[in-house]
Amino acid sequence: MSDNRPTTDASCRSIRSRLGEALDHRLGSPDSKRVREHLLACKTCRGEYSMLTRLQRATRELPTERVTDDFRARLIERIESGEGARPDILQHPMSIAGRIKLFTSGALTAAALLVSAWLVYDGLRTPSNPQSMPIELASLAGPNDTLRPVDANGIGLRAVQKPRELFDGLRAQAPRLASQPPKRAMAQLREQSEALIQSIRFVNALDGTLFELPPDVRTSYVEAERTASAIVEEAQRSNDSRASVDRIVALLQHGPTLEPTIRVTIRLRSSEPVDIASMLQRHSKSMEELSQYLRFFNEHLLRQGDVVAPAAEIWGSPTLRLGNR
Amino acid sequence: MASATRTDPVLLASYQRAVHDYADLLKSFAARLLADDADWAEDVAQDALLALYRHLHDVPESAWRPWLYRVTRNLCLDRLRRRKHRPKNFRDFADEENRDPVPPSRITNRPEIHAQEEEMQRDLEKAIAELPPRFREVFLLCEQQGVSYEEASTILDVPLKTISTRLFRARQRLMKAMASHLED
Repeated sequence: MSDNRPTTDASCRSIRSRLGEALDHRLGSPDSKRVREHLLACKTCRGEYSMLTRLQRATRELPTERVTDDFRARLIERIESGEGARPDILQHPMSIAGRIKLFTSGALTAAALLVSAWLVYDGLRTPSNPQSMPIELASLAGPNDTLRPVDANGIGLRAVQKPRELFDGLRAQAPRLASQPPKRAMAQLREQSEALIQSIRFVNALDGTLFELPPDVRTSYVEAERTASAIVEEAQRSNDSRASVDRIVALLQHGPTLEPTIRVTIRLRSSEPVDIASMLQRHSKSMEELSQYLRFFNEHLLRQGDVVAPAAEIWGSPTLRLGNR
Repeated sequence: MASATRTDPVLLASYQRAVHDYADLLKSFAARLLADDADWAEDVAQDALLALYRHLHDVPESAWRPWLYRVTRNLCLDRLRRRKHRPKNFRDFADEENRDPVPPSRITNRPEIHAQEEEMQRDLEKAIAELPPRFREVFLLCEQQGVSYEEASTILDVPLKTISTRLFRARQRLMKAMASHLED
């Protein structure tokens, strides 16, 4: 460092006018270098930069005002009463480009969305009248500092319909397998059956907590899991033989039937914030098992762009965290 | 006005998150903009969030943050204007000589803070409150709320260069006011 290098009032004035931008990393490379070199040479400007830094730190450390405990309750009350926003506060409206695609996030303060919500759907159809769900009644309740909100309704629906979707796909494929090489057919059967098993286990892990499956649906899923397990066992026993493929095809054609339209009523149970990772971990005997749940969650239930944290990060402190792919 | 009752659950979930994320920040921003009218800060924050709910269909999610800050700022300016026209009931925004702009609630009940730091915070709050509004809002947005110059430019509807200039001047004033705390 050389405090003896010559500096001039003019150069100091020029540099000082840029110190704030330098602090905010808004200078281009040449300007940034010029400021840096000047600071090395000029003790006075260095002192000013130091003061700016302290001012910035002190400002950022100023306490944040906290809203009162009933803030959300009062907001909900105003929303429900239909109170409108004052038009004058929207003066000078900002120019805004078209709506971006809404993200579907979700780590899971799920039940914050779920109070008293009943989801009814027919088979693979989404709710015919989703707007009737009184989600907003509870949507402001009890957020968790570490979690992003989730479309819990959507996750619940997708989770429950996924086994049927996979089972239908498996059965639809059966007739085509006869013409495929046995090894390839067996690999496909095994992969799809394992996905089906995983989907049913996922639903079972959440059944009774996030939602409650009707008994008949629960029974049909048990049968579907049994069939899928038999396929996996057959695949493990076989040597990718044509005979094994035929046995599996026969099993699928005569196995349990999931009604084409299952009427499922999911009762969302909890009125408290829940963390699906916690629920899944309670059903996991090992990190590997949790990892399987989360993989299924990632692949089948999250929207594009979201990805759940790996099991290794969740195991032991199950808080579901989402990031971007 | 679009009805939020026809909003999809995902949008409502995002709104829920926005309430969680911004309620405190907006209240803080409003409290410091309103200075000695800081008691209104929570109402202002709530008005802004209510407005967002009523306009969920009009405002893309990517614009929620600047939109909320802009509405909050408009509400604050509106309140300050009304105060200015009722000097018997409200002190003029510019007439700040004899007041303590820092609500006691913001500087007390923090035993973990060393007395010296507490004094510095008190003085800093006072110095910020004494900034002219156009400097204060830029300083609070960029320095205290962590908003980028570009976003501040959008929120305040002024050119980027103006943000840079106002921030510079705000910092100069604050460094002068806070010299005893900031110097080595």
